[in-house]
Amino acid sequence: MKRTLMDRLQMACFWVSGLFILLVLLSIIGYLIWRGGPFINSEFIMSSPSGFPLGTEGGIFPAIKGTLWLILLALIMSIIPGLLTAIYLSEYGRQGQLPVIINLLVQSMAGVPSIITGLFVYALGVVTLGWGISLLAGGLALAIMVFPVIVISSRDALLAVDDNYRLVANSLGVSRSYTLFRVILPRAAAGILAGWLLALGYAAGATAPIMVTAAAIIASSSGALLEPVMALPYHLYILFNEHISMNHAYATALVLLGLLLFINVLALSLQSLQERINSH
Amino acid sequence: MNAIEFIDFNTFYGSKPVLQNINLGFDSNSITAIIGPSGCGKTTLLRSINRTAEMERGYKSQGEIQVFGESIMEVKSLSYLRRQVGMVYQTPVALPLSIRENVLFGPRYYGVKNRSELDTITEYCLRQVALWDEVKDRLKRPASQLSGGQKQRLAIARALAVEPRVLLLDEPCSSLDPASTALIEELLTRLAKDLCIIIVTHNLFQARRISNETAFILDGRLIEKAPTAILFSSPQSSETQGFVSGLFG
Amino acid sequence: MPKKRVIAIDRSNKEWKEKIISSIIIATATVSSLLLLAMLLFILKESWPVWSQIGISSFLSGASWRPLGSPPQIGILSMIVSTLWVAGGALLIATPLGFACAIFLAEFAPPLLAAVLRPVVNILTGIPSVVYGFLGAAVLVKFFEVKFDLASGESLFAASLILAIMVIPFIVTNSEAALRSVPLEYRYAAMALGVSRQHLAMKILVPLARKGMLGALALAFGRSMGETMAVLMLAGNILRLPMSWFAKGEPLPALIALELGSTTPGSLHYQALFAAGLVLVLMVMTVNLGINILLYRLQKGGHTI
Ligand SMILES: Nc1ncnc2c1ncn2[C@@H]1O[C@H](COP(=O)(O)OP(=O)(O)OP(=O)(O)O)[C@@H](O)[C@H]1O
Ligand SMILES: [Mg+2]
Repeated sequence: MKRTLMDRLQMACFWVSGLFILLVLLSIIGYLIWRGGPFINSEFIMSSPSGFPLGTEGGIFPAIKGTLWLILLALIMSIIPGLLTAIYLSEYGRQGQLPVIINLLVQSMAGVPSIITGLFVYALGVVTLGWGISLLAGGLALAIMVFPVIVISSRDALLAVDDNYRLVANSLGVSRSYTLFRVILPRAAAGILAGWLLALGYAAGATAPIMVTAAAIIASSSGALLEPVMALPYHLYILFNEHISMNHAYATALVLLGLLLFINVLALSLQSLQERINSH
Repeated sequence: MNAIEFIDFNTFYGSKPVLQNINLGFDSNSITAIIGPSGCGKTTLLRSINRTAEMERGYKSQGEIQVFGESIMEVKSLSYLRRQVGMVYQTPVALPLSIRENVLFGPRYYGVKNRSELDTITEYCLRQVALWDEVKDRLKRPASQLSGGQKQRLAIARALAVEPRVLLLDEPCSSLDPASTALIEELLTRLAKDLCIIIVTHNLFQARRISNETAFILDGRLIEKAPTAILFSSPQSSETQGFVSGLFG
Repeated sequence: MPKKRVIAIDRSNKEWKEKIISSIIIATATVSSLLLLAMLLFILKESWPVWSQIGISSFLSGASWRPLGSPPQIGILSMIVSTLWVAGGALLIATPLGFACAIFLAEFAPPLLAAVLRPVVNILTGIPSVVYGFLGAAVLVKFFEVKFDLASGESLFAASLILAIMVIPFIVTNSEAALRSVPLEYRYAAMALGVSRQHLAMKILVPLARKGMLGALALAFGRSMGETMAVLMLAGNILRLPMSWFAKGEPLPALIALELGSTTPGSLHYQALFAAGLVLVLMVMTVNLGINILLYRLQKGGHTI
């Protein structure tokens, strides 16, 4: 078949755009390693910010700790409602209007900008309930933000389990929860776990919601619920925005990226494990 | 009393009628074959008995089915009904558990905890389906490793493990080779001593080989039910005649 | 053969346990998804004085934002325009690239390259916006400043550019899924007619998948409107009505993020920020809902081809 010039041009565009994506990731990683790599050492990871203005020297240990506290809290608060909602959608709510409505609400919640979640928790937690800028408020904001992520990923993992198992188990007269615990959940476990990891990564990188609810420029991040915490993404923002230290900003960005790459690669490999299980 | 009795039974998917005005009884301790062209409602009929058809979107039913004299809509629980009425489906399904746990899936739920009892149930059920000798050395291995024929026999064993009084089989041999089919047929003949067995089959030879009675369904209506030999040799209705003559023609 | 045992235990007394479990599940699912409505209502309540005293139209069309002035003026027109401009611009840049990449992945990429690209796209989605914003500000903005000799290189355009890079992965993933979900029969039919793969992709698959691809764009648009950090760091944060793509502006999310911490709860300023938040979330939801309704119409009209 003859190929016209237009066809060739079009094909070239496809290739260029595909390679462009690859290039973006490589250049982000490469550039951050180049600029930030030299400043990462054990002192940077393990000590608190110091110098004047604060952050020009020292490290980011409280920010790492704070981020870990925040995502831990977010996960604790969101996995149970998230998983139960997913179980409802995949196992219990197969008929009627309620599951349609819940699906729609969850889908819409996934589209709500994270700053709005922050705004809501600011009004509810920080102001009305008097928590102040605190770990608790930040954890709640992140939990609300990742809730739909957890519901959707767990729901899809559960729905991907072969319906024949449900049919066969039901035919034996056993209860739904027995089938759920013995067959469905173990079968979907890898996919559900992958969703939790994705949620974790999403929470670790989120800045806007914690900026208004939890983050402080300097804090010990001891894990006290009603104290403000430092957090990696916010620290990065401050280092850059207040012109404190470009070098430390690059290094902080690299640490954050490294953490997220680690979490996401783990999530992706769990996802592909789940796909292999499903096709088995 | 018949084991199963359909009384003026109708089903619909949405507004589309599937089974219409079924009046039909099934004896205990016998095998009844259900035959009919594809899409006539055989699967729906079986799944109406253990009420798994209700899992399908848009399914509605009218009229009554009685299992040992009790209406299926008025039994004390679904669990109670389904323990009495076991079912085996067309595609062999092994639950993603070990071979042993597949058999024990029901019994564990119904509260059997004692180890030796569990062992007894496993062995008894696997022997009943002539699978014991093939798998006794790998009971802890995943059941997914079994062949199709073995999985289907495992499915029967799993159904038997909760001690049903009725066994429904929906084209259980359609994906099996002749040797596995022969094994299952022999097994069903043996089980019919204690159970009411209803088998849907597209294989008219199979219906003739194993069933005591045969029911012919066409477009959701029961055309004819008679002792198998009679239905095949001198059917009452011309539609039945037409359908079974494919066997000889 | 061992003797048959009879399982005598009856579970019907435990049915209530199952009832409790299912009620817990239904209750949790209902309550937690109602959280969305609770959020909206709460934000509405916090912003109520703005709507009742200042009025919807003057809040939306007012061009000046001086919540602490006397008399205070609160109008968010310039923020709304900035938001739409930034997001629209991002879409303008991201759409061709995203679609081309999706088609490439779905149809033309050699399997090995596709196997590399898919995780790459996923990982790009996982990079947080603050990192994109930081790199954009530290590299891109600096580049503009040097290249065009500007005092400061921030602009709506810079924000759009970085937002585009952020949403391309979304567009790629969702449109590739749409392309892949075209039934195989169409492919076979076209191949049987001897159509070239390129023709197949552009003239048959893309039109068939356009529902999903449009949905991907809507999703990307919603994301861009609600994105905070990248615009905060790139758009320039000037509260003036932007007159061009290269002007500075302050989209709604940036406004909220910057000013919320310094307000007194219950003050007009505080209430106005909640009103701005409500406007933002309604804008995003309108886009998402609107596209769903549109797609539903398309589907019902039967123009699948
Ligand atoms: N879930 C469903 N939703 C809607 N219609 C259905 C559903 N399941 C079956 N039907 C319809 O009900 C009718 C009977 O289906 P059924 O599966 O009982 O047929 P069958 O006799 O078992 O066919 P086969 O021999 O091919 O297995 C068919 O016309 C089918 O299209
Ligand atoms: Mg059938």
